[in-house]
Amino acid sequence: MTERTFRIFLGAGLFVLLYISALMGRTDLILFYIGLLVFEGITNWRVPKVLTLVMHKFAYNESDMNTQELLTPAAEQAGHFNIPFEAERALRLFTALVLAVPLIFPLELLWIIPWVVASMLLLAGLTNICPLVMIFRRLGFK
Amino acid sequence: MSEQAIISDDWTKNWQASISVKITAVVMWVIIPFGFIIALFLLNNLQNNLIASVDDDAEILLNSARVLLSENNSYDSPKLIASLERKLNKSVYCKIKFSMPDAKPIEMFANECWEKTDTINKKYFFSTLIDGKPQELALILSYRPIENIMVKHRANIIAIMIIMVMVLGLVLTWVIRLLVLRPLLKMVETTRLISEGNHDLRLELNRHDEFGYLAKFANKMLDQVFEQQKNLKHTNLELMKEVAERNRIALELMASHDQLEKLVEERTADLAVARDDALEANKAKSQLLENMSHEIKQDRND
Repeated sequence: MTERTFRIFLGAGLFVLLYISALMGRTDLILFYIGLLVFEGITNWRVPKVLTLVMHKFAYNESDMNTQELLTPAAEQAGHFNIPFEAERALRLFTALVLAVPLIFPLELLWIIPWVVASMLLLAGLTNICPLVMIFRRLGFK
Repeated sequence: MSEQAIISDDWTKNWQASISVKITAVVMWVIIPFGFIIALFLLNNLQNNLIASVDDDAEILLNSARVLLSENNSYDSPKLIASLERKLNKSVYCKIKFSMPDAKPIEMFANECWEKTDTINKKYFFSTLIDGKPQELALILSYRPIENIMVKHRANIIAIMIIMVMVLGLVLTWVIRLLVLRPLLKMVETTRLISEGNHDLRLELNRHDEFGYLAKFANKMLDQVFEQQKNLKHTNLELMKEVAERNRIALELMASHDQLEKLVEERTADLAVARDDALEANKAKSQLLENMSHEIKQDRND
């Protein structure tokens, strides 16, 4: 699974979660989502990365594959980065932080933030253009 | 290049490569914030309407209850209950509770508003004539907090907005594909065929836009290039003819030269023979003269 495909799942999943939360009148469901993003961001055990690793192990002999090369971002392979932190991890932590804002600051207008994040993630996945990752890479993230 | 371009046309398989998807992505990145602004505006209006409905609907329900009680002349007639339930479903309220002294209270619920639902209650007292007697009644109207109602409306409106934006994106991609990508691919395919040697082919785009002008000027350029190529070929042919003629003349000259050389050699040989003959004759003449002189000298001496 690529990061792009996972972004589609992340966006669509957040939409479904927000819709169900609205129907059920619950606000705690989004905490699981934020938890997943924070876990991925801190441990770097990202779902697409893990799935790619697992699928590759099934598809090829372990001796034949260069897993490190497979999972290393292109920027890192080329050596063009200043901050030794992957942009995809930064994206997850930033998204988690933005999603936590309406929970921390109970302003009524902030209800829109999770919906905006969901639509941005979905659009980034569908079009394979993620401005936030592009900005992070421009800033020097891996 | 052509193969890449043809593959990019199939945007379901190759999103990143397709120019129509790139344009759509940029447009949608702009449209979505506007969609949210419109959604916020609609929701703000909806919230204001809901707040206003709390008092308006209460007045409507109260008046309806008063009139219906008076008309039906009964506290718990099915007709009264059915009429009030219809009014209730159209209002912001979700529960009505009637109570009268010495009578069992009557409760009516609208959708998603049951006994355990968190509600805000408004209590009204009024009197009306039932069976010709004035009766004191209490009417409790309950509604869910506006914030709770709005959460659902927000989810629905945002979901509709996102679906509309996605549909718009797909339509936009399709339209861009028709308007931009199709002529572009036609041009790519035609130029590929021309580059492979089909020099009679031309870009046939009868459009009065940039693509039309591009095709027109590209055709003009191709005509000029091929005309120049034709002229060059013609000039080359003429030059080759001239070179052949010169070669032929050179060969003829060489043949004449050889012939002359041969003639000179023959003449030289003839001259040598003639010279030898002359020398031989001269020698014979000298011998004759010498003999004659000797004979004369001998005769004279004798």
